[in-house]
Amino acid sequence: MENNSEFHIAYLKSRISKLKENLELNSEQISAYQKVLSIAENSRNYEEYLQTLGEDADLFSLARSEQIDRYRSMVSLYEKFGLEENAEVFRKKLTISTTSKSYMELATNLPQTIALPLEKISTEKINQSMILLHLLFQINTYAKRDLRFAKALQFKSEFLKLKSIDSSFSFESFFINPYLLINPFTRSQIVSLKKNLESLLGESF
Amino acid sequence: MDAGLKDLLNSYRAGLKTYFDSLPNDNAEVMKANKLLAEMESLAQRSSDYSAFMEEAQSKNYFSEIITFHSKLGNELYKSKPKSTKIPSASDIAKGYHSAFESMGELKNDPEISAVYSRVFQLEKEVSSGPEFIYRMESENLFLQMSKKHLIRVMRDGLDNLLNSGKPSVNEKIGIVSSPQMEHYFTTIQKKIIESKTVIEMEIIAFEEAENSRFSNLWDSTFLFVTFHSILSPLVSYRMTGSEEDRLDTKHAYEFVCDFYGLNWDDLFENSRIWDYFEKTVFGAAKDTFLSQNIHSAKELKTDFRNHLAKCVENIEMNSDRNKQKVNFRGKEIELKDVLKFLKSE
Repeated sequence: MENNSEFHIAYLKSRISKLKENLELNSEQISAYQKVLSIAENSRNYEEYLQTLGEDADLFSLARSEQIDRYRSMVSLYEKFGLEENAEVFRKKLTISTTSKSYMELATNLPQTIALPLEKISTEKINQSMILLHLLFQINTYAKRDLRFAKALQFKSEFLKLKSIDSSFSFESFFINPYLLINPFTRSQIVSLKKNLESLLGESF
Repeated sequence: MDAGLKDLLNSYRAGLKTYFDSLPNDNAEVMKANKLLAEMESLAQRSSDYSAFMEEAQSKNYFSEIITFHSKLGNELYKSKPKSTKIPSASDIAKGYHSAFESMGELKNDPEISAVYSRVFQLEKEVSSGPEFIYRMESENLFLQMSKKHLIRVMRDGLDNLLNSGKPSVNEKIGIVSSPQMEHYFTTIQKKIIESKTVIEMEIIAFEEAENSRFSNLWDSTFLFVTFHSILSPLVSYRMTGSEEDRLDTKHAYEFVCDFYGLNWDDLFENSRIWDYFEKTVFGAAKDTFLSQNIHSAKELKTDFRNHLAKCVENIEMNSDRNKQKVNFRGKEIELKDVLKFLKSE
């Protein structure tokens, strides 16, 4: 019996030591494992340890801490790419994980569908900006002016579609994530392409 | 009551029966679930037919509510069970790893994956208790290794599939996929996964590299569209039709792209990214067609295209201007000639 306690304590210490190799990523887990370790070290045997853990005898606190660290990192990751909708999905998951009190609650409150509507918006924004970049160049490559004009009108229509899902979108957005990440045009190139577009349509963007 | 409706309601009741059998009748959630089922049955009795029931049940949100009772009652069941103080055996814990390994199919034969699981199953026999089993697994890094070896194998397969895509035989040197950024993705992610210290770290790396790669793909696709396809599309049309309209479109596109990027036909094909794409994807994907036209290599195809372009424009040899040969790559102004290098490294 005592051997089991020793093994368990050694396991917890080993986990903590590895988690401490990346303090930023594993902060919640380190704190949760240290709490459990403290209970384990102060228990006389394995049964007492489980009794002291009480509701947490299934070590849900450790599983939850892992989810919290995971979702927190995912929020930062998507913020870095400028994918606000994806970050929001993981913010919601983070909130649910933080407030869940059991494995069942965690499973119940984290439906897979949580991500779908938001991720769809994110994908639409990216796809729509790709269309705009292609059209912005295409309005210059046709020989006939009426075809160039038709492409310019199409640009305007697609631009408004993107504005309807991202009201802050403007030409400047091509230099901010996530749009910057797919834009191959330099500032002076965008200025030149925009000028050609405005000249064709007779209006400013 | 409509027979179809009766079956439907019976199926809802049967679905919740396990919970009803295991929980006390006066449990608040059990009472609510029974009340909802009774309301649905009453509505079914009153409804003239199946569709009338479905319409009203939908408007009352009955279907969503009944589904949520599966998780609500599951939660009640979980809460009602006493927490076990029995120390689990190594076999209790290892059950999940046996099922995971058995469900891997062909991957079970991967020597690295098989070696990790063999060690896990050997430990299961060596140790005397669950806590010892978990400690030994942790100290030998087996939890991480199980995930790591599996993911690395998946990534290695992904890279092999990419590189071999479209190859008619293993002796062929050119496939149809030119995707330096994807090759970069698969090789980088394998390296980073090997270096990762925890499962979460590995997962975050996987997500980050996948997003990086997605954006590089989209960037590359736009880059190739504007610098190359803008010219190639009308030129291919002209090569097929010889029409005046296609000739003028080719001329206009060529002159615009050359002026915009300060380059000419030779500069374009000397660009390592464009040449890789041209050789592997444009020529490689339609190799049989080009062979039937007596064109045996990407270089010959380039010459053929050039000959057609010469019929569209007065001056192929436009002046190069290094100052214009720039692109934006993730906020950096880089030279056109460096595109391939950046796709392989960022």
